[in-house]
Amino acid sequence: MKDSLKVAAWEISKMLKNKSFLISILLAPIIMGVFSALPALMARVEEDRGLHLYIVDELGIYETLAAHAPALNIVLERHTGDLAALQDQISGKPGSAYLVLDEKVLAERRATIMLGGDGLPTLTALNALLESMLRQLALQREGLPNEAIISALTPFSIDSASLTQAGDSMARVVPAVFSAIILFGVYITGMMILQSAMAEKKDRMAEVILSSVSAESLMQGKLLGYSVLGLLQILSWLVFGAVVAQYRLNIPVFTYLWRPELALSLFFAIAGYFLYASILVAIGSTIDDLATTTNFQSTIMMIPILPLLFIQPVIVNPNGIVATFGSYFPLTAAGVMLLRLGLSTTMT
Amino acid sequence: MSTALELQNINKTFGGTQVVSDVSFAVKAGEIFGLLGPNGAGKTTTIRCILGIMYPDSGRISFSFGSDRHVARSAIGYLPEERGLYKDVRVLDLLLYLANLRGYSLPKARLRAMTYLAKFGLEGREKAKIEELSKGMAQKVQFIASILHEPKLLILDEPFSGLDPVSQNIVKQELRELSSQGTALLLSGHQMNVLEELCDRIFLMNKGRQVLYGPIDQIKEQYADHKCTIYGDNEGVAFERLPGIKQVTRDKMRTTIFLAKSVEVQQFLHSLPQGIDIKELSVDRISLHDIFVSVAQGGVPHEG
Repeated sequence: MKDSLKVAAWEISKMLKNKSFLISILLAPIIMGVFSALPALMARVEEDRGLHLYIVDELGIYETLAAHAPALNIVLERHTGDLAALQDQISGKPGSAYLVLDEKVLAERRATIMLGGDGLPTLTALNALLESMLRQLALQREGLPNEAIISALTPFSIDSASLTQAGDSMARVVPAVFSAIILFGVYITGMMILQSAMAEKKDRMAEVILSSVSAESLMQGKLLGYSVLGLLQILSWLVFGAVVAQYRLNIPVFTYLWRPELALSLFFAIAGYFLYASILVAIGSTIDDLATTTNFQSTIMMIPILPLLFIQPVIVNPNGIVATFGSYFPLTAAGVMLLRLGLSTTMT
Repeated sequence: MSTALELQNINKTFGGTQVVSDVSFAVKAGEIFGLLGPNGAGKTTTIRCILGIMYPDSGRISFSFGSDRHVARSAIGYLPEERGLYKDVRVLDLLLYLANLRGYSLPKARLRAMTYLAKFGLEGREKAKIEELSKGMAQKVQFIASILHEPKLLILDEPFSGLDPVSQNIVKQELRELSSQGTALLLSGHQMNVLEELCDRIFLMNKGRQVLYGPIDQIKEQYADHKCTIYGDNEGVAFERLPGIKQVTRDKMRTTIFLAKSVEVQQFLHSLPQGIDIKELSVDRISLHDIFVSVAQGGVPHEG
């Protein structure tokens, strides 16, 4: 074990002095942040340009619609003139559109917003508002009193709850998700282990090292070293993610995280890592270069995605036959157990 | 001298091919021992068995400094024939790591590393990355790594290949010094002239088996007859007709005459024809190189 620790310390110190590794630690959260925030930011820029919507209103609902328009970032304008002239006016203008609200709309239960140019602006909120107003109008025409209309338009919410899962489900889910991210993240660092196992042969150091320590100590040292490096990498990302979740998305991650469930979840995540890493080290020790790795690509990729096959049946029944089998099968045990920990309090 | 390493009846088979067959020899503390043989003779397999990188099918390997494999590893230094070092690490870091793996004190290793780096002309390069060094420099670093932890048994496979003559002399000197301090040295290689110069005893093997084993002087006495080399224009001279001549080879102006064991050197010199062209003349025993070539071609009988 002493030799393993020496090897582990060497691998850790070697990687921590490696600029590309350090850059990857810092760069990954930045890239993740940019990629998660940028599309929404860019969409907002387009949304901020707003939509100029001309309404040809023959149903008498323009005033009500206009009252909601500012909240929807839409400029409404009533059009009373020639429709053909309006079409000519907005044609070729991406930010302009018109909508005809007439008896035909009520009869066919269909309204079409005609866009002046290319592109599909986000009209979900406008569509929902129009749908509600038109439904209300149709019900009024049927002669229903206002109370009945409001009652008819108020939606029902259907939920499900478990008798065995009292309390806050987030308390179970957050530690399991946290551990699953660690497990997944360490899987990603698996290639580092593979390359490290090949390094001795590539650098022609195998004989020197194996004349100093046993093959077992060398492999154990690599597993230990890269587990620390992988965890370090993932934890730095998770800290970044947790801070964002806590303060930006207002999810009290830290409150839910420090629960007894975390210890159990972490155990399965780390045990899963060691199993996966052992397989990679074994593969790495049998091959000489990265080109040969392609022969093992499918095997390497298959191992971490195996638990995905169990997701659906485990969600349906976290204590069923499939879940139990997945818990006992080594290659899926870690993933399935993390899923079960998040879904069930009465594991059998 | 006490025995540092002893091999008894080592056998190793790969896929039905016997690559090491009944090999037995001992290396004494303070001696320089040569493990020789042509390519494929089984030298590297024998060395790997000694180092514990692979295990023999049968036979016994024992060390004077401990039967425990871990203890043995820490007392052995090894320079493999296939040279290489981690490319992206600093020289001193690598030396200290390898010394640490052997269980050697780090402060002591640091001190010795700096001394040896200076000795091998690598002063000030301790913080350089291996990839920044020339091939020769990297080989020196690897040699330093093999001796840094003061091994009791030092195994060097082709220690002089790739080294310039100056570096070769430094390594030779260092090996002699280590030997005088009691380190057992096992050298393996093909550079016969250098090994002949350094080794006290040799074990010559071919096709996995022992061919010759013993002190180098005795072997040369036993197997090496005399040869006479004459440099001069003697194209038409029939040296073959002289009494007790085994073979004559000619290479432009150089004629080499191989004498039979029974022939006295003085008697042969008197028998040389009058008037031959002698610009240079030397008489010496057949070198280890000649014996080696002869062995490779199956020319030397197996020793009992």
